[in-house]
Amino acid sequence: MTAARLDSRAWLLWGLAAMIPLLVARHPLVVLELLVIVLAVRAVWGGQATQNWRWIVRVAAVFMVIGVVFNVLTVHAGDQVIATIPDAIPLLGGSITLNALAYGIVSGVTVLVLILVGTTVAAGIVWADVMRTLPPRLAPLAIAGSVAWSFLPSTANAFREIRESQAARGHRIRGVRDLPPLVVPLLGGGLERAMTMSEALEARGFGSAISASPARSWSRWVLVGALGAGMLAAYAFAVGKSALALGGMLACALLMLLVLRGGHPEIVPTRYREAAWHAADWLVAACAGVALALFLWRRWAVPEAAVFNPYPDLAWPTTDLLMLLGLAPLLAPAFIVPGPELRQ
Amino acid sequence: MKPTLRDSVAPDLVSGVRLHPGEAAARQARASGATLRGSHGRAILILLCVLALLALRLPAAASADLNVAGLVVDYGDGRMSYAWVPFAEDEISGMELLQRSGLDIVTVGFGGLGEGVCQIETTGCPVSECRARLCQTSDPESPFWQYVQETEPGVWTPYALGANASKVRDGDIEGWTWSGKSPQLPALSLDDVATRAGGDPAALKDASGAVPAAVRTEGGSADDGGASTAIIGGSIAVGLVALLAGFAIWRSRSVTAGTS
Repeated sequence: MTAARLDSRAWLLWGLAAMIPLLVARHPLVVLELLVIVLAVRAVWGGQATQNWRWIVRVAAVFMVIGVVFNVLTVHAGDQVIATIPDAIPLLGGSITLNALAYGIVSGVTVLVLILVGTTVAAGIVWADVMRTLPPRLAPLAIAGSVAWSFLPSTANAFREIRESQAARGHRIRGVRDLPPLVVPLLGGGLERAMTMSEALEARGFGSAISASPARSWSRWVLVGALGAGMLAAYAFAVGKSALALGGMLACALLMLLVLRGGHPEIVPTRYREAAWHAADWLVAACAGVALALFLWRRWAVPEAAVFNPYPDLAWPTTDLLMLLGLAPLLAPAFIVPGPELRQ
Repeated sequence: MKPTLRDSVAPDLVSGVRLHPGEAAARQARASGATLRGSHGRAILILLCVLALLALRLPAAASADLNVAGLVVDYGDGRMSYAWVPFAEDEISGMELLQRSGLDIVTVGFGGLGEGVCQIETTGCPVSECRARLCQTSDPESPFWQYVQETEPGVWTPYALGANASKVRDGDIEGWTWSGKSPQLPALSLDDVATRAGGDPAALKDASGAVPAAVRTEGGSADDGGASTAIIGGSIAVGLVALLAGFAIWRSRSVTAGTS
């Protein structure tokens, strides 16, 4: 199957289905499988867009190593002792165990895979499409989020260009004192881009006051009710009142839906090109839904299959074959060949 | 014979006869030598007596001063561990008692606040959850390792401080229970704990050295949570997904190469 590109909503669904197992499970095979899947999807769909996010992946890899070292040095539990740090050294004194190393590696790779999934989705979606799917009332928030999100790759690009320019002038980074020639132009360029962006938004009427209308007065009170229900749900969840929390969340969702559907008579979204939902999008969304449903079902049925606890004994965790096979549909985007414009 | 002022200061005038300087010096030297030999002998004798007393006293002290405390662990699934732990010190901390019991434990450090118990044997929670809230969730009845002491028979009182700050003395019985509710442990005496743990109180009487702790687990079946019969199947499943991923990449590249 070939597609010019995947719809942003399909990418978001795929990202959600790939992230939830990583957030609720810490099984080495689940993490490994999702790493394989996300690497395959990046290999197929990764064009210039994923290159822009590569620096975040590098930072995540560095933090992964730091996390592993931190876990090994601070957790002294486990039956597989590699070495011992003298107890005289505060906090670090104690046994260095293979158990802590294993847990640190699994946790670090989990974070890395989460970042890989996030950057793959971020590279695949088109923010304009995402904003179109949001209710009109959330349009200003979506625009602000879109602007903020787009600054990350543009800042990375600017940093690379500045570094290359300074290198051409003979500048070399040998220490902290050599950073100002890079950081100052980066900050200046960032401020300049921000000013340009704000002027462009201002020229298009972004942030202008909307006159109050009678239709909005009731929605304001409904919004207050929705926020109150949300706060009540959060409090009930914190104190363990699950039924009350569920009721509060439902009330909050219903009231928010009412507020958002009420809409702004002044904000009329326009579409230059209608978003099309193709067969490839159906396939990716369906596979993501199936994978997520299967995973949640297996996690409910065999909860120990989603857990990896190497303390105090380092033993292989319980493995559920259906849970692992259920995640395979997440490979669906890798079987769709992207259009030529995305292969640049 | 103790040297006196007369001996040391005016030996030449002792008898009222003035001696030749050389003879006076010789007499002084003899007198002081005899005095020193006498004091050394007494010191050595006293030292020998003290050593003999110590030698006689040491074995008696080892058996008389060996203390013992009991430990009861309720895993919340019907299993109970009983440990009978002798110790030579006057008092030890609850954490030391737990460590000396021989049970596998996982703890996390909280700096000056001491350590928190995450797992005893295989019951408990992973270190990451333990570090956050000591295994507790938002549910007020979610289980965690409660630390109690039997203050009276059948009365188990939670400790206000952690296991690193508690003082366990001879005859005390400590309890750990994996529960989110009030601890429900049976009334136990130290002899009950010794019997159930397989400890031998008689061994304390004629012990010449350290007496090992005794521990035994009763009831239920240990759910180790790590037993797996599908390791190979799981690895095959991940390998299959990796093969599919490789095929998808190869297919995409070959289609791309074909169209371009």
